[in-house]
Amino acid sequence: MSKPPSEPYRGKNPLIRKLGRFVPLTQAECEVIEQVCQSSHQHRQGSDLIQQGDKPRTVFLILKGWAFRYKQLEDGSRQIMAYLLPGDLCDIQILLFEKMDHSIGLLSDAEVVKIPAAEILDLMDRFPRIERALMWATLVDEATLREWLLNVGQRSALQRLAHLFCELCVRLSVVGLVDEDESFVLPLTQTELADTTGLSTVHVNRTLQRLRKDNLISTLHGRLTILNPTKLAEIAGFNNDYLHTDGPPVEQQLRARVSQSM
Amino acid sequence: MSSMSAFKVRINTHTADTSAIILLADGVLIGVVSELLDECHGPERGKWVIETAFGNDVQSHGTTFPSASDAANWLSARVAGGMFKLDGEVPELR
Repeated sequence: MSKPPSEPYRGKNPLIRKLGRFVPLTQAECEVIEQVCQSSHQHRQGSDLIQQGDKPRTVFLILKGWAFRYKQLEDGSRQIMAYLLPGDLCDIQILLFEKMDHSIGLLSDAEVVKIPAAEILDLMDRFPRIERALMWATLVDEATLREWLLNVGQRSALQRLAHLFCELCVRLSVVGLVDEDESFVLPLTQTELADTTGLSTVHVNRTLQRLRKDNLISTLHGRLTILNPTKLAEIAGFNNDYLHTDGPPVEQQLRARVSQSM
Repeated sequence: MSSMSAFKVRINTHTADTSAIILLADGVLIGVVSELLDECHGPERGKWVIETAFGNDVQSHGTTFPSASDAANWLSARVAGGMFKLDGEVPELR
């Protein structure tokens, strides 16, 4: 499991760090993103940013904390479809919806920016490279959803959790939230892990126990440490290609491929 | 009303949850319930869960039950249309 290389946006706002993985950003582009992120608000764990059926008026950007996308059945059972980590937008296309077809809730206390539709459209008009970076981010979100579908539909319980932890480690690395010892804050209950992986809480519990006993992970005070990243990735069948975090920014790789083919 | 029977079995969960009961209605396997014995279950330890169910499309969503009898009753009501009497000692499967 390879983590993203160190990059020139260290210490910057997580959206800049994330978009910079897709398109190299200029100073002016970084500054305009910083401006967009200035008016953030604190939200409490357990609250919803928006609920199924609501009309979306803004795009939510997570600066700190974790959010999640979910749908719920009438009997109260819930499926979590995505985790939204610092630097993640949730997401530009929701502005096209008349009504939300899912809800977005908070897994932890969070710092969130609400970006009005007009501001996003203006940003994309004035800064086409930022627009392309946002497009890449959306493509990666879709690839991640496909991977989660594969996880729930085809992988074993052990593989599901292993894959999820590998993915989170890579995604959090991009925004500088993984320590040297491969540990990161995991603000998830076993119920939330169960609702993510399509397992029962009991099965999640047993599977976590097995991962701990096999010295693949450790959990303490809300942090998860990946003790053996290579082995965990092997068990999960994890390949981080879908996250596009390796090598130079994605657009540079694309341009290099295009110029080689001419 | 179906004729219900139950047998104790050992179950492989890769944890200390090794104690389970298989439930049969008219001699047909309808499900397995297990006891949460591993310390990883914390306050849920000692309770019972539906490990798997056969027949109807039953989703227990990991619900825990205070006793094997409660779990068996919950399951049999959904897949066999009746209550399950788990009185007394459940025999070992031979």
